[in-house]
Amino acid sequence: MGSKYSRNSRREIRNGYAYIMPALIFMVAMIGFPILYNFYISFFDMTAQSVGMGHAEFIGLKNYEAIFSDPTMWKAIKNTFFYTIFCIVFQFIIGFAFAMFFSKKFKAARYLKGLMVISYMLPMTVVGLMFKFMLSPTNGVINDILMNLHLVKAPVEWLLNERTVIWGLIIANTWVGIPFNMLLLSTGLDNVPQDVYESASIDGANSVQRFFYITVPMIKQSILSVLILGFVYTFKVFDLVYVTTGGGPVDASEVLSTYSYRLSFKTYYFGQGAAVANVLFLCLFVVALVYLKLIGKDEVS
Amino acid sequence: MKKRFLAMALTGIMTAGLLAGCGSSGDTQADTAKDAKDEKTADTGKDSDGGGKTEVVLWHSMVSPEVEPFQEMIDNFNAQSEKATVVTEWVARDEQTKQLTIGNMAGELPDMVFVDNPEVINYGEMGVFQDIKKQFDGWDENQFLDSITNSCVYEGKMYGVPYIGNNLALFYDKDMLAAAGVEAPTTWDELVDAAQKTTKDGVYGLGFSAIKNAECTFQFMPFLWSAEGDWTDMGSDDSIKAMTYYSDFVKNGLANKEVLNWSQADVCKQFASGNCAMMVNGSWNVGTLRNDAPDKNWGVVPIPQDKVPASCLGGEALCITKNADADACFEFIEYLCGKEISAPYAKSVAKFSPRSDVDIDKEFADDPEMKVFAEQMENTKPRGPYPKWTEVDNVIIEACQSALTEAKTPEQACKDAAAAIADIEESLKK
Repeated sequence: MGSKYSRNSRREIRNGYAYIMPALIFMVAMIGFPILYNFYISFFDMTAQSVGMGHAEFIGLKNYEAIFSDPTMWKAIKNTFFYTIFCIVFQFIIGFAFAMFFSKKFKAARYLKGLMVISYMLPMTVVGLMFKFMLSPTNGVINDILMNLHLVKAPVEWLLNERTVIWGLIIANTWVGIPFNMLLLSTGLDNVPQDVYESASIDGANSVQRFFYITVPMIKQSILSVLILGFVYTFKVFDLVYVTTGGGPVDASEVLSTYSYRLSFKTYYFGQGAAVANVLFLCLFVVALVYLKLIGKDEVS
Repeated sequence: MKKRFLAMALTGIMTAGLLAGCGSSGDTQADTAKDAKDEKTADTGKDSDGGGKTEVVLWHSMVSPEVEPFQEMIDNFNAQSEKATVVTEWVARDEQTKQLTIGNMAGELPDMVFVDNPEVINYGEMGVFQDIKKQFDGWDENQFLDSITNSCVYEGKMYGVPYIGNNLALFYDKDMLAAAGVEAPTTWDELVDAAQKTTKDGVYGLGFSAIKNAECTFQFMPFLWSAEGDWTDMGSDDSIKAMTYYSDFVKNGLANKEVLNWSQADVCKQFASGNCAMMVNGSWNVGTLRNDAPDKNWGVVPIPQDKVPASCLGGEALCITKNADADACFEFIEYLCGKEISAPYAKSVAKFSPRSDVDIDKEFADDPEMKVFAEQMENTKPRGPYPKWTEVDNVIIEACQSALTEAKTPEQACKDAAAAIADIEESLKK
């Protein structure tokens, strides 16, 4: 026949598909369906009332209209991006610094690295409560330190002030994110052969040049995945914000996920809650596409 | 190629994992509801024990030490009733509202459920509960405090019977007030005076909860009502006066600004450890303080008043769901909320009967602190009753928080709240 595959390899392909079938079915049922269903309900007038009565009307884009005409939505979008970008920047820089530090194979490096991971292993709710105490203006340790170093004159009202609350959350999340960045980057660093550095030194490259012309390009893959994974994890933050501030004061720290939760489970506008969740999804989908593109380009070169 | 596929799969999982989080939470809810139902049907195999008693399923979220007297009461009822057998199912309190909403969609509801009073009308108008006005009016022991029964009544329909209540009062540190040379306050001016005199050396005069959830509204309402303002008229001078009075405690440094992040339990801890001289808090803290701070010398007075005495109703109502056997269920309500059981049962779980015929002097002769709360029950008002209370609740929380953070003036906060509540009212008419 005109097929470009031999019979044997066609059988192999069939077998291959059979092997991935269970995983595929699982993904479609457990992940694909909820996503599609979420899109579906975002076009219906789904509220506790309408669902209880058994007639949720199709209302087209009205849910999207409603959420985008709510100033809280814009605040949530702004907060989510602001929070994500600053968390990533700080986590990445500090995490990278630690990774470089621990790549200097000194004796205690392994143990210290292990210790650092503790903050990554703590449940987010615990982190949230802990930072609520630490950021307190009355007896919080962070304000104590800042005061004693004479960096601030009066205690900062971290979580109580509309302008600083998002920074309080960024501090908490950065603390959690550092070990994650450090671990992935130091795995990357371990794979850079030492002789490249040696020959660079012989050629007279200084440490800054070595960093930018050898280290960074050699671990580009790790950097990329750390940034993308970090972005995804940070962008969909829920527990930390919910526990620490509940989105307050007023709506100063509302992010997309808490706003969606509030719409769905506090005021029972399921349709609007789904619409917010879809906006969140689309933002991340774009990031994922960019990632694919970058990875793809790399492969070709 | 392999790497590329892997990357694609990974990205897929990453993006998908996110929404799976949102979507599947609903699914698992429905699943657990279904599981509960399965167990239930397994139970109902022995439906007709004895002379054809109807089995009614009751959802509750009681935990120790409340659950023991509760179970005893259920057993007593089952032993003496000829019509009904009550079977209890435990549902976590935080889960209950979600379970009811989802159960309603999936058509899997219990026969009866205890519901937090501001939610009764919400679910009633959603069609989850039956209108039991007829049964209630026909009951010869229906002597309840009107303000409290009102929490279950909307446009002439009654969606539940209040079975237990609590309210807010002012706790004060006797030693601190004595040291400052002030009596326990009874009016707004006296409260400010006492707070000013006790605010010093890291101690704040007053503590209350303004955290971003229902506790904030719960604690603000007594001030609002005492000035004769109301949530239906947030733009009025009286409401603005209440908001100003309330937010001035933080503005003038008489209350810690951290009230914005304090739950009522946090407030109680602050009071117990001597960080505030007075606190607004509920009756359930009486037991907490007695256990956790046995050496502390404290007392309770009604919340100081402006024009009228007012407190906010906490507590639950017993509601019958849409497809349940109303007569069998109401027999249980008559038992639990009746003259004989209601008051002693409420006392056994450290709460108060909503009935108007309770002999408070006799019942609380040995407990002066709890007696204050019991006496206040008649000045206690429910939030709402309103089908979209949760939305109004959000509006009031935002108003309180923006006044406390000084993001808005109290006047502006109230005016904005009035406008937002008018919008909610508008959406209800549609």
